[in-house]
Amino acid sequence: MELEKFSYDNKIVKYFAIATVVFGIVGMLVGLTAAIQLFYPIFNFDLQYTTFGRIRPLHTNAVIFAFVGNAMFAGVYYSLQRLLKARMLSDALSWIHFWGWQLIIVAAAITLPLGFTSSKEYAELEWPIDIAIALIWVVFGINMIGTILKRRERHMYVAIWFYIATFVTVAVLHIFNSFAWPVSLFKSYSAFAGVQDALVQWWYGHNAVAFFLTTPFLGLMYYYLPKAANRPVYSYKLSIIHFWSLIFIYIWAGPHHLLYTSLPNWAQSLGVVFSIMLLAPSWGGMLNGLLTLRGAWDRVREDAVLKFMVVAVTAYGMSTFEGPMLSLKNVNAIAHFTDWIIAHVHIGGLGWNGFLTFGMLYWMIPRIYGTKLFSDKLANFHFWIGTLGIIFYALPLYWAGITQSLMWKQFTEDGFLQYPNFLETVTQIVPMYMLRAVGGLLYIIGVLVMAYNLVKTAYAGKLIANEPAEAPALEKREIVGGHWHAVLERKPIIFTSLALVAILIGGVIEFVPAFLIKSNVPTIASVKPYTPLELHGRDIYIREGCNTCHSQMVRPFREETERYGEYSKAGEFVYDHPFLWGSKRTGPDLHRVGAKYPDSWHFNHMLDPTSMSPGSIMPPYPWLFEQQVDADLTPAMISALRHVGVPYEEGFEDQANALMSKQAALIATNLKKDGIEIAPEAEIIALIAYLQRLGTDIKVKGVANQNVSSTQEGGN
Amino acid sequence: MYKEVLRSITGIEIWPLVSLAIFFAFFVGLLLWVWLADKDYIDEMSHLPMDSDQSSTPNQLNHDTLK
Repeated sequence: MELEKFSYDNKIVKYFAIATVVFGIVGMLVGLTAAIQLFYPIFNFDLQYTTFGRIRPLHTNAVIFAFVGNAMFAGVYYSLQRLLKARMLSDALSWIHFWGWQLIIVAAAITLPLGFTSSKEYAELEWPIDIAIALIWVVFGINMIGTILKRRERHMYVAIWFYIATFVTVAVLHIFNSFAWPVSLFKSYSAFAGVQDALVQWWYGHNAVAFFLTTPFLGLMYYYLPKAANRPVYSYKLSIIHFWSLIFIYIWAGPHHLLYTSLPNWAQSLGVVFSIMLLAPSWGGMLNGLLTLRGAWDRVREDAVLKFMVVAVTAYGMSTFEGPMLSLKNVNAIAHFTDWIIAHVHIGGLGWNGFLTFGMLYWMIPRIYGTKLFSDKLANFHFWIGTLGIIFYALPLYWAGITQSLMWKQFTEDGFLQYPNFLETVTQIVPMYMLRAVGGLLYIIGVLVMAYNLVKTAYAGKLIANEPAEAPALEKREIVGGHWHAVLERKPIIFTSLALVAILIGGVIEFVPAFLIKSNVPTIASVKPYTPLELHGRDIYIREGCNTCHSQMVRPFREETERYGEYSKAGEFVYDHPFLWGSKRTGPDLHRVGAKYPDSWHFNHMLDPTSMSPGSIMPPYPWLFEQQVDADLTPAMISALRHVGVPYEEGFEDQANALMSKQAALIATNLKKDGIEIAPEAEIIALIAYLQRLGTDIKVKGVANQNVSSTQEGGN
Repeated sequence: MYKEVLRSITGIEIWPLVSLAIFFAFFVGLLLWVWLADKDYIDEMSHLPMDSDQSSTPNQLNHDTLK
């Protein structure tokens, strides 16, 4: 057979690797800033661009899409070419992919601090950037599948299946979750409302973890771990079962993020069952990775690459054990809304994604530069300080989460809340926040050391931009027969379609009933669409990222109805585009905050939270008192919301601003009685209007404070 | 509440059954295939990452082929 000569593109790998390290450092520093803001609110800098509510989404987007995303691309571009014995389909597509992705990251880094956000977690970017993401993602997919089609290796190794599943699923998730109606260039309203929006968002959110942070990295594990250990994977058969069961089951588990919320019970149960089932394939994969090292454990002692990979796979095992446990309703009742979840995701993020990335870079960079790693000692130092960092990060947060949750739930002998003031439960755990920041700092020091080590390595060698290779061309003759799965591995397009079907079945079975419910959600007659002023207030709430720290979902527990009021009903959210249930309570729930305090309380509280709640860690929002509501936008907001199904009458947009001035004047007069002078156009007025409206629709007939018996029914 | 919602969807009882059937059939098929898979083929597959690297020992056995 004739050998064909070709070359592997290492330059694109180098660029993605550089982007990985640079954005890794940036994203983690932003994370450290956010961590410090939680115990020293002064580090919010009293600037709207740097408050926690805007910094936290910046951190999550940077580490997920910039750090982990670029690491994924670097790893895929290196391994895919070698597994297929072919250069990438097109250098042009590779570079469009690279620069397109970096531009998206820059766009995110600019728009998120400016407050352009959809409020949906890990999907905060506004619609023009969403479209750009979809386009660049498709470029990546074409480049990858095109390479598979022109391969010189007949069979596709299991790593490539994981890459294919990643591409297909992320495309579906991203497009579906981004359905929105634009109001302006950087503002849109989700096409879904309330319960449905929550279901779609957490179907996306959970599977972003599954198919952006897990499946591509499992593909990388199946390539780089055998490479680094210099022995084949423990069981290839197990890897086949791992792949199909994982992608089949993962897609169903999203609703476990919404336990005890207003989501219909059947959907919650579906999420729980599939989350528990996930344990089996996840641990199958973890054991497959660890057992690959059987007989090579002596090398783990010396080789920093293997050390990183062992801890990465162990962290994968830990967080995929913890995940199903957190999906049990009784455990979730304790952990949800607390720092336990933050600890959980960082075991996955710092341990699994971070350490696998580091191991991969330490292995790959010397190879593409044709040299040895500059310093094994520094790599080992990085390993130990990084591991210490993870421990210092996670343990205090587990402690904090459980402590705070138990304090929320504690009743006195007389049946009153032991800690009726939410703030008490926060100040209790502030020392833990400090320790967590120390852990984060240690981890970043390790990354900086790695950056130095890798740069030194690069300078010591020379980039082999086009690495020569040769392999026989794939024979064109049709091979008939073989096992059906073996046949499948020769047909990438059919394989891709099957993977798509596997993930769509889960989505369809989850969504179809949920969307049929639309006409059946028990509507509550007293729930009405928001007034124009409240809408502006809601947009400010979204812009400032209030939902980052405050939930709007009172769960049907006695300690929550005692603390906040009547538990939340599905019918209350029918006009919420997007839903704002939140996922973390750094501050108290706000769903029943309406009419709880006088307007002046909110006014003073937003100006200086510590004036109303001494010791509060909430940042002040002075700019809300200077900036004015953009009344020109009101008609567009109304008509966009009408497009997604809010029943504003035709022509309402023309009277909306007059109505708005009237309501604003009322609040301004109200404040004046308390001796506060403020222009009715100020943003704070709109925000107060929204906060005072929250959760009051069902209070109209005075049902709020007689809920003990109905609560217990709801809880069971 | 959710029971009324469920009842109002025609044919809802069949959903869980359909999903269970799909899963069951797929996994039984998959397990059967993996069980019966040709050893040489599995061995070839698991060595794919190693092939491009001269330093690897070509005939290393793994769990699948050791039995």
